[in-house]
Amino acid sequence: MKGGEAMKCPAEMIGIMHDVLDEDATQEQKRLLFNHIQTCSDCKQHYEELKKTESFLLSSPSMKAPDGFTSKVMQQLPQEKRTVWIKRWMKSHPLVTAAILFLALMTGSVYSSWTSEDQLSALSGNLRFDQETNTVIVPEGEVIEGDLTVKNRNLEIEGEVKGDVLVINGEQYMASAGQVTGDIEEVDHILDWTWYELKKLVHSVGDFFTNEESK
Amino acid sequence: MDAIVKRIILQVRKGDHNAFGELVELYKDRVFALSYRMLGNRQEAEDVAQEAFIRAYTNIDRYQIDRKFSTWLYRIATNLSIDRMRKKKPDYYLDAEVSGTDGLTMYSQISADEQLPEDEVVSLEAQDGIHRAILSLPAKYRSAITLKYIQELSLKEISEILDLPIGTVKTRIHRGREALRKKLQEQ
Repeated sequence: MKGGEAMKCPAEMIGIMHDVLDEDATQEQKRLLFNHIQTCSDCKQHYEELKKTESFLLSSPSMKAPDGFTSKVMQQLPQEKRTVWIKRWMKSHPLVTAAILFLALMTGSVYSSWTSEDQLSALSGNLRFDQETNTVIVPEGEVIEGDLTVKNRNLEIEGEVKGDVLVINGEQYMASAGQVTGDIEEVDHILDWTWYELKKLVHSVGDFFTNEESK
Repeated sequence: MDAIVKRIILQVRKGDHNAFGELVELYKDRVFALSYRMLGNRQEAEDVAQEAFIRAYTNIDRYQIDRKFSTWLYRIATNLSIDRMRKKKPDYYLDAEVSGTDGLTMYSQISADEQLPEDEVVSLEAQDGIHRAILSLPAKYRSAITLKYIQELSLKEISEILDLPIGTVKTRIHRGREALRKKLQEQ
């Protein structure tokens, strides 16, 4: 405190004031300042003014962005990627999305099952195949346990089928001795095929619900 | 808060406009306040604040996700505000060694007691003394003071926003505060 009687304050005193305001001063500096301003009215006034300035700064009113600010910004953004738009549209229209998805999958599976290779399915039993007439024959006396599906071939039943018979894109002949315990169905066009697949789906959904209920 | 912001930013990076809208909602008041305190005019402040968000959107891939988003956003807004101030006052254009991104150093040679042109003072919308006093500060002090007191940021954050050492930020705040004290005594 040499400067006290000479009316000249330590040069760093104002710097210390700012450090104190910034909560950046050491204990030693703080003591130095507070001791000093007790004896030096100029520095005391200076410090008071700085504190007042700071309180003005801190009390300035908080500001709100003008109305419509966000939408104005959004209008100026570059185009967003298409995939994002589609994803969001799907999120906001779940039913339509589900319907479209269903139709797409349905069409796909129906078409692929229609065009897939010639096939023949039966769970058991011996079948004969006549290449010349492209005909699958259930021989007399033979019993097929379960459903029989024949695709892109004709079918001749001389024996017995204990289940449903489905002939796709072919014809079926029933010999007088032949017997089918389930339904016989012939599907010749893709439209019929679609109808058949849909019926199957509705049935399985129905089964699902009846199963649920019976639980 | 930070976790929410990070999640939103990841959505924005995938190109989601609506997610960006959430970011604008979160920060619009603070960014507007920053540009308003820097420019002193609502219309210009709104222009600059909008521009800041659009820049943030188009440069979102350059934002480092582990840093604080507000720091990055305020940096864009501060630089744009200073750019705007420079355009308003072409005679302040001192760009000899300034690179495009750092708009601050061009003001380093301007003395603290530079006065605003008359018409600027008239155009001020806010009449309160402290606001006018802030606007009379040169840009380098104005930005430091605004970030400290209007945004209430730490010295470290301010130094990141202004891309200056903490010591320089402290000096600017000290000098800015000293200049404001004088202005308020004069009023």
